[in-house]
Amino acid sequence: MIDLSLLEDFVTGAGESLDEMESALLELDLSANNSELLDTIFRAMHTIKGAAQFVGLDKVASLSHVVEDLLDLLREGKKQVTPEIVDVLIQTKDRISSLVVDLEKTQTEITEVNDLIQQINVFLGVETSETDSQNEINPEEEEPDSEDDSEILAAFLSNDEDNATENDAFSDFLDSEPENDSPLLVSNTDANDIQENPISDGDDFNLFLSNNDDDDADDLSIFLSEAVNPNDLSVSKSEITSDRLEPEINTETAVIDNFEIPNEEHDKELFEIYIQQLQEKFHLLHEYNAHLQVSQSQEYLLIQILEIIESLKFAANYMAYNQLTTLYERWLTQILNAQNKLSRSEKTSLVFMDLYLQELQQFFPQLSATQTENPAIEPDTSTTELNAPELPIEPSIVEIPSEENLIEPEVLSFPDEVVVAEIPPTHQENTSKSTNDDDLFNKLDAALNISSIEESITSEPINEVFSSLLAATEEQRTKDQPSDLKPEIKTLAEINQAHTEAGKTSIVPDSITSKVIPVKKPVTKLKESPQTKAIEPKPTQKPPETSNTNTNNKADSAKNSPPVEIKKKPAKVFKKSIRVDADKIDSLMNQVGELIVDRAYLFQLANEINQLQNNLKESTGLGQKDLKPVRTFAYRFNEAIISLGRTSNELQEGVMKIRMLPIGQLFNRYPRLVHDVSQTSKKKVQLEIRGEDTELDKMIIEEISDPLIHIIRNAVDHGIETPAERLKQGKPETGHLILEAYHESNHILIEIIDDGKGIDTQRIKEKAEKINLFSKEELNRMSEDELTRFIMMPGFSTAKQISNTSGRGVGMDVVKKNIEKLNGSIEIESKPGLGTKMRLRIPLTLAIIHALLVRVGQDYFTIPLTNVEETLSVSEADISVMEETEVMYLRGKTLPIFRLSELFNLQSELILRKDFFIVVVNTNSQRIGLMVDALIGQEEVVIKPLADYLHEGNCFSGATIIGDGRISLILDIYELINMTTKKQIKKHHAHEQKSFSLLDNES
Amino acid sequence: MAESNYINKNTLQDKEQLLQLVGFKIGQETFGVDILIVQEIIRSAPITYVPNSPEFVEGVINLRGSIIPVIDLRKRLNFDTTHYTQEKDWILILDIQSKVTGFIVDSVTDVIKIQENNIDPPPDILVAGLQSQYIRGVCEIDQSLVILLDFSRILLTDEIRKLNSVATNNNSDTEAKK
Repeated sequence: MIDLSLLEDFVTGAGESLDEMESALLELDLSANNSELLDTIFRAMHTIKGAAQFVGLDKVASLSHVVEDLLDLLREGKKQVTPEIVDVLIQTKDRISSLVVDLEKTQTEITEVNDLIQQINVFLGVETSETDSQNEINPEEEEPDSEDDSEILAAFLSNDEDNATENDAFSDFLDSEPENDSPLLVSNTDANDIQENPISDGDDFNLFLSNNDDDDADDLSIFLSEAVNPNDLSVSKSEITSDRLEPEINTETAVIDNFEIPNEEHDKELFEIYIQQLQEKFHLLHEYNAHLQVSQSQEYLLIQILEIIESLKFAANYMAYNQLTTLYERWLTQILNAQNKLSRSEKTSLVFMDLYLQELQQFFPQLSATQTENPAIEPDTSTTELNAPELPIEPSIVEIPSEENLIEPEVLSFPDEVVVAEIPPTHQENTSKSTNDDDLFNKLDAALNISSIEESITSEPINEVFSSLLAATEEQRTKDQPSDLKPEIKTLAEINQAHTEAGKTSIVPDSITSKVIPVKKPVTKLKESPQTKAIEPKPTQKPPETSNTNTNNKADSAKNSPPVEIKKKPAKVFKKSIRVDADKIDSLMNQVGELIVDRAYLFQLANEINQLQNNLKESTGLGQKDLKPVRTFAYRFNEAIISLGRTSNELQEGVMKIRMLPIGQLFNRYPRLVHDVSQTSKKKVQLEIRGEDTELDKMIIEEISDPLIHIIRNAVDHGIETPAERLKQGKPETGHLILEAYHESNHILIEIIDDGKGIDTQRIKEKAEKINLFSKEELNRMSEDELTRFIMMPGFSTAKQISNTSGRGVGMDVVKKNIEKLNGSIEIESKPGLGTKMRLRIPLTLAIIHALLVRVGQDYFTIPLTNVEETLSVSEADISVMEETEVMYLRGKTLPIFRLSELFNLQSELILRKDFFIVVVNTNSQRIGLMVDALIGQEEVVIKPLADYLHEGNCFSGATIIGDGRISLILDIYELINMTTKKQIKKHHAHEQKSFSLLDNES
Repeated sequence: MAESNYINKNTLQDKEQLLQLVGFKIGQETFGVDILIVQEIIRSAPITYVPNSPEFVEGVINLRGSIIPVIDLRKRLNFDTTHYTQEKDWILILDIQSKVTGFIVDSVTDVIKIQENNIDPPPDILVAGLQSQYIRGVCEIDQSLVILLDFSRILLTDEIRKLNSVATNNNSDTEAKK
């Protein structure tokens, strides 16, 4: 039933939206009534709803719909954000998450949502009366509009009729409508429209009906008799007037149910859903576009717009509207260009946005209908009332130069009389279209429409408009239409020209021409509240309008020059992502690894050639001249290799960067964790995230996720004290937890800092003594640091009680293991009473490491540089033997020395020598010195895995191929130190017969 | 596994199915391995010793950028190594369930063609001092016996691990005693 690929898309998309929503919700918990956050949540919810409707997921859609309602109340400030509401919202998020999981697994929505919907409705119910009263005022205020509207309405209707007959899907629908549609359906639809535009619909209907009587327009009457029985209409009208003010939270679902009664063909349904989605998106686009003109955060808006267009493109692609898809593609590239320019702080014109919106509008007349429904009334009101000077202040939802806006400036620049004289005739002509000359009307309509596009940019004087337009109609019409329109859509577009014009009052026609299309949207629209919406964009809207007016006055001079003044802002580089199979990247990475090995090999060959050259010179005694070709060749060979080296370096870097992701992805999971843990432990914690842009390997991100969860949980659970305790100690009640990431050379450092009570070393001592880890004397000798490290020992826990979250002594041990598996390390800094700082040091990538190459006998070994502390050259005298282990004193500390040759049973030259090379290596807890025959040098090596049976229980993490094609094993220092410790312990064991039960168990 | 499946399927379908084996020798015995899992046969590659690895693991080689473990088949099959002097320069590179592994053998003879139905199950008694668990079947050709080895079994990681741990324990024990 549900298309799988669609579903897949929904699942990933919803996941992202939900994440976004969650983080915003958690923030909202802290700073209630932050409108930006509410907007974010709303946007996320809206995206989910739109997608869910598109895919046909009723539960998700209905749940997200009520949440939208609730959010709207919050946004309008009609309701305060309370913890309860936040809780409900979080619950909703979880519920949708589980629905998404359902979908992922079973392709059906299993989880129930009704209880939550009811819960939310309770919140909504309290507020509905308020909404009502708001709505009630409006019709009176706006009553004068209606007369004018009705005319346009009638015109629109007749246009729409044309429209419908020419459009396949719509004519289908029209055909079926008389048979299938019940009066109930009509009334329902109408009710919706009333909801959508409570301002004047009632009157529209009256006038619409009377209009119908008065006007003998053939098309119109035919259409009406065919489509809807006038009696039905009047019935519905009365219903509407009584019902219109009632809150209709679930209208949407009800309506959907109704519409499912007629058995429609699948593709038509799809088309309707598609149109509906398109409308929503289109509306959003308009909104963003308007903000774009003036906003400080253009890059952000552009990203939003990009997302929308991309989803539109996807949808169009799905519907196989190739022309549309290409349109979107062109659009996308232009936006991307603009973004690039923005990111380079260049000026850029965003006027193409308007053009594209216009173009899109031509494809779909419905868009202009919805889009203009609200503002349309206002300009018209003012024109009839001769209130032209007020126009620029009039708020308008429509942000692009849709017709009203376009006419406005024109109107502005001329005396009121002109306005009265010019505009009403248009309408008259429109309304009388069917009786009069159809052709003329079409021309005019088209002209008007075209003028609106052209005029916004070219700014011709108003008094020329009509004459020039009429003249230009024919040519511009052909010129203006995208040449690559798909035939079926083309027809749509053609009619649309007339349609857009009439689209000023589009409420009723919409509901009649296409059943489903307007229905869902209007409900949301009401909830979005036309009033607030309309006012918000006002300041943003105004500047472009006025500037337009100015240019208009200046006349033709500015032809085709788009208004750019306000749009320039340095922007961050845009991040656009694609999903790629990780395996592909891995294999690419491997290939690059090969290349690097080859490069090293070539370097070596180059050296050999140089040597050869010298040999040749010495042994054969050839003169300079004879050797010249050889020398030139060697030189060119070197050049080639250097160039290859450069390229391969860049390639390597590039491939490595592919895998890099901002750590924010990971960090954003934790606010929820902190929220949950602090709730259960009844503590107040504020989480601060820093450096979320820091990038690191995707693999590593996944690997450190769990360790971080553990550390953060520890910090909240053990570190931060209860509010009471904190107050007693003179700390602020709310604990502060910082999660920070930053780069340091080849590593990423992640710090988790809390201002809690720190680690109690005394307790650690007690515990260590109790479990016979060390003797009391030993413990007393230990530094705080060493003691602190005990928390990372397996099975070590100082917790007196095992709680839900922690206390089994497994956590930190696992954390340490996981981090060290990544060649990373943990440092712990703790100040009793002041807090704890955990610092994870993790290499940026796993596949390529910097390493020190050493030689033992004939074999080469690679030691990761992360583990190398220093290298020393020592003489025999520096080394002494303690408890059968060689040690040396290094800056006052004892350093155990192990001969690699002994550890690995290898032949070595060491026996013959008195000077040794020592590589001091460390994991966190321990340091040892490794004695080697020679230090070869530092190299970048590609880690290649070893077979399981060579890897396991051995101290090699992999192998690498060095320049001459030889294999060098990479030492796993962690395992190596473990091995030496075990050896030491066994020796120890033999000596003192002590029982180190803990460590023995491990082995 | 894949290998044996392959055989089974074919025996069911067509008893007369021809099987091509790469024949090789260890000591006096002739062995065979399905030609389809033989990736290549190389001679003389520098083998890098891997410390602390199981005794029969000779080391790793660099095969055009891939690091491949090399197992001395003689040691792996517990053959007598006392009189073993031959140079280890034949390495059969086999792709055993996509684990590419090299096996050192004394010599590679030729390609042997046999009928599927000529393969007999491994006898209960030891063949050439070889535990029957590593044998997939035997086949008589020209009055001599060709032993088909079950390489997936030979490479079974659990088994290797067991052997390995025994080896390391012995190692560390001896060292501890030092």
